[in-house]
Amino acid sequence: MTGLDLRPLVPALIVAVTGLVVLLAQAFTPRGKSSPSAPLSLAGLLAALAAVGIIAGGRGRGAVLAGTVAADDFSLFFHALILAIGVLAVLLSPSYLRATGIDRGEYYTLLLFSVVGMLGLVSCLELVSLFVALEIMSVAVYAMAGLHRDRPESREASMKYFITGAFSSAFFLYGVALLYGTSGSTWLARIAPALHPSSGTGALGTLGVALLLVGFGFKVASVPFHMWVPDVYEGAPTTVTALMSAGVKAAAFGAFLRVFLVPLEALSGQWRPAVAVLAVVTMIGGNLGALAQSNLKRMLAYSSIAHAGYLLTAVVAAPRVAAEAVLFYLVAYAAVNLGGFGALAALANREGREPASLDDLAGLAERRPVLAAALTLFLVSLTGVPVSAGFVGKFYLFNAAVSADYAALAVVGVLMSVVSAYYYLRVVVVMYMREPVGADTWAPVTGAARLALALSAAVVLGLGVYPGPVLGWARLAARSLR
Amino acid sequence: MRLASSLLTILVFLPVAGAAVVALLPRRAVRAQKLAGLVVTTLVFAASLLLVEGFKAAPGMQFEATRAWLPDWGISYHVGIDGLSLWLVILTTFLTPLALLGSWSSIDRRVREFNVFMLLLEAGMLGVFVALDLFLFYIFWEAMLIPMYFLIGIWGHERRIYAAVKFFLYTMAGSVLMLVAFLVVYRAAGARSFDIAVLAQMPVEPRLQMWLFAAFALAFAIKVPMFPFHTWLPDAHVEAPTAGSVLLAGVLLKMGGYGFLRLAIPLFPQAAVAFAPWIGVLAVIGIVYGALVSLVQPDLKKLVAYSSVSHLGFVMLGIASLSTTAVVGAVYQMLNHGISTGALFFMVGMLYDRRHTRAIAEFGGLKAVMPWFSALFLLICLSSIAVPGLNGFVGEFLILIGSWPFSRTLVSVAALGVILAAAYILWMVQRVLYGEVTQERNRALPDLQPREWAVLVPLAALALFMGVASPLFTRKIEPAANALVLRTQGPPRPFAGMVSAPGPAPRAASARP
Repeated sequence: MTGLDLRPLVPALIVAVTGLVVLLAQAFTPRGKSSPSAPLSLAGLLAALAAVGIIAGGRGRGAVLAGTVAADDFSLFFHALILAIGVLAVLLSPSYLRATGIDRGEYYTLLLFSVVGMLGLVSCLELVSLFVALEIMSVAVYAMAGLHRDRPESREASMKYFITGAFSSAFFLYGVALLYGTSGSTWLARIAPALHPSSGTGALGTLGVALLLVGFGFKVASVPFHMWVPDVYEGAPTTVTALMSAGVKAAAFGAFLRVFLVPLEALSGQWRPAVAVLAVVTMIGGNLGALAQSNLKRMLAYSSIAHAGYLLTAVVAAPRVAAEAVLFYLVAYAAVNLGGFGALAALANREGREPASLDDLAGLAERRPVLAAALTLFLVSLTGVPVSAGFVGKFYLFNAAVSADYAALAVVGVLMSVVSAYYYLRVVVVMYMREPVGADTWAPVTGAARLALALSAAVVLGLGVYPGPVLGWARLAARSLR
Repeated sequence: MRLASSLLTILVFLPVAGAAVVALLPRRAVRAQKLAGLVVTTLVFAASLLLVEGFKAAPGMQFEATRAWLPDWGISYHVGIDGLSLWLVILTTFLTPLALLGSWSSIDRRVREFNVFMLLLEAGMLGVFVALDLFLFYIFWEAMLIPMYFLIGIWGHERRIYAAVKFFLYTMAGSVLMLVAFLVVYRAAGARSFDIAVLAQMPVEPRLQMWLFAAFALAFAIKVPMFPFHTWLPDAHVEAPTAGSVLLAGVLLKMGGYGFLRLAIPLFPQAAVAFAPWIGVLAVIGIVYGALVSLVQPDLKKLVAYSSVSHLGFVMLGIASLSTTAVVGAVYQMLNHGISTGALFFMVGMLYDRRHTRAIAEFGGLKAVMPWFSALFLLICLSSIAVPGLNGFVGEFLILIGSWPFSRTLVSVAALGVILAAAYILWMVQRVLYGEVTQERNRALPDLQPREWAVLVPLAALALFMGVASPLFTRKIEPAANALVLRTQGPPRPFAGMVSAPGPAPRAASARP
């Protein structure tokens, strides 16, 4: 395709422009009045989602901008997923922001910009653009993590995330440089042939790939690059944590798959065992870490590490099998995390307090039966017990590992799922089997948050019963990887 | 024949629909919630009787229904029943309404949730018995844990949370390895299908069979539970509310044995033969161990719980012997155990409702105070220790006879278990029913209430009926059992000279020469 075809960029452009509009609207709103940031953001994200739908139905979906940005099924799948995550995150936000006193327009602007970064991250075919997208996403999230300016743990989260994030970016960039040095290109399509073992690039290429792996390891929160996760997840505003655990993880995995599976397949003999080792230590580290937590957000943070481990088990499989499994699981996982963190955020009360320790949920089943049931569903899904999206997802992931003759990974995965059942069930025990303590101080769950939680629950249950359509899309997307 | 093919689906999903209805009832409408639960489960039972009506005594699946579900993976919604599952389905639909009726007044808080979980549990249990696709089977197998977990954890006794979590973790730990084994079978068979019948046609290399069988066997052995995987059982049974104990003992424990019969043995016949002696040995250890531990229990519910370990040892011995007679006996014994142990848990629950204790020492001389209760209690106890003329006898006799060629030593030791069972049960009966009334408080205990009559009479009647009319049942079990046994060995030989069981022992192929 010649000329300047911008169609594949339209969703990202819509979101970026919406971000600017939200920022301006904020500036022009009289003091004392609140600007309609949330509805504007929502409209922008939905418009972008519609654009994705139109592109998916249309023609001319090759790579544009001289092959830098792909508009293949893989991108479209992730674009739809990320925009949907954005929509749910926006729906969850207003009540939480009001309760905790950070209801400011820049929150939404940052959220939208991070979404722009995510959208770019999953569709770049060129490593420098990929890096730019990574930074757009990351910088926005660094800032969002520190929005609770009066809370020391929030400032700590922001700082910690920024420093470790910058550090990991350096690894990533170094890896890119080495690959450029060996292949003379930053385009994935041209790196691939240069790295073929027969071309004799040797140690330099391998080192470059290893550094890229470290960079992605940080972003997907794999052990041993996970140290930042518990503190950042705990300190960041809860809705931001929801966005991070769902969106950042999905986008990072998207880019990881895009870079590693097909372009670096020639070197897969070297990176696959490394990924397998990462998967094992991540599953074990995440789950054992979570066992010791009594703080809900920290527990979910370690659980998010553990789930990165489950996801990595599938990456050792053949490219298409791996991509399919990971894509499906990311959808399930995003719904579950938005729901889980969203439920905690929805309970934040007027004094800005939100459920932090396990005991804060004591007797929730009597006071908020529907919310408790939804939270139970999310925890069941995280455990990987049917009937839930998590079960089908894990089935798919472990099937991928077994299909690559890495059955040992699946064994570690399922055994660690049993360990995880212990700490997830602890939450259910507290909600259902303990009496409520003291007065009910939690906020009632309001309109938009309620809708977001209902949507998440519907996705978790729906994918558990009838995963067919999403599996089909994941398969299409995986096929388009080249 | 549209009804025939959708009947099983209706059975499984009617309780789910019922659960949804109950969940939507207002919180205050306690009576309506109870009634809705009872009506739905009774309807399910009535519908399940159509299965008995239409079931032909032949091998192969009946009432089958297949629907593509995830065709890319070769996963289908495939249900059906044969002689191995027919009566277990009926047992489930029979015990669930009784369990609801039995806890009518003892469950007084969060009644709505209780009914929802009971209905979901029923759906899960039925699903396990009718699923013919590994994926579908696993979904029901695992999903069932959740309602049971809540039943124990919310409405159980003092140590309920500990028991609920232990139950969940123990069972899940067993089944997850089976899940990996499913995936390995799927890959090894290369048929791109999770259908049990398709996979059973695919020969799996013997060395791999051993590993896979071991993974399956672990899951099922925990569920049975076989010694030494039984440690979750006393906790779960004792801490569960009556309805939970009844279904746990009556139905859930059957899933282990059923799993061996439906999956582990047909899919890995050679491995099954190789592992059979070990299973037999563990089964017999379980029989004796369970009986000995029951002897010394001061708590009625614990005694009944440990007696389950012993009784299910018989079931596993029958399965391990891989002879038609013994397999029929094992299936029959599963039904018997469901009825007699279910009834015992109901009765212990009735005593608990009256006195809020389950200690044997707190009772004594109940015969004088509660004559009708005592009569039924004695009857059920006798059925539990396999007195001829009652159901337990038929099952144990078939198992012992059928296993004789398998191992005389094991059968001899197992027979010792029969005597021990008589000892612990009769001693318990003596301490609870006979003698002087030791506690003044017990003098005023009311005898059976109409609702309790309604729960116990069907169980007692069935214990009698299955004792004298066993061929009605075994006739339908036998062809499927025979087909299973044939898979594990060479051509059948006529089975002569063993037809003296009450109710003719099935004409069958012998296990081993």
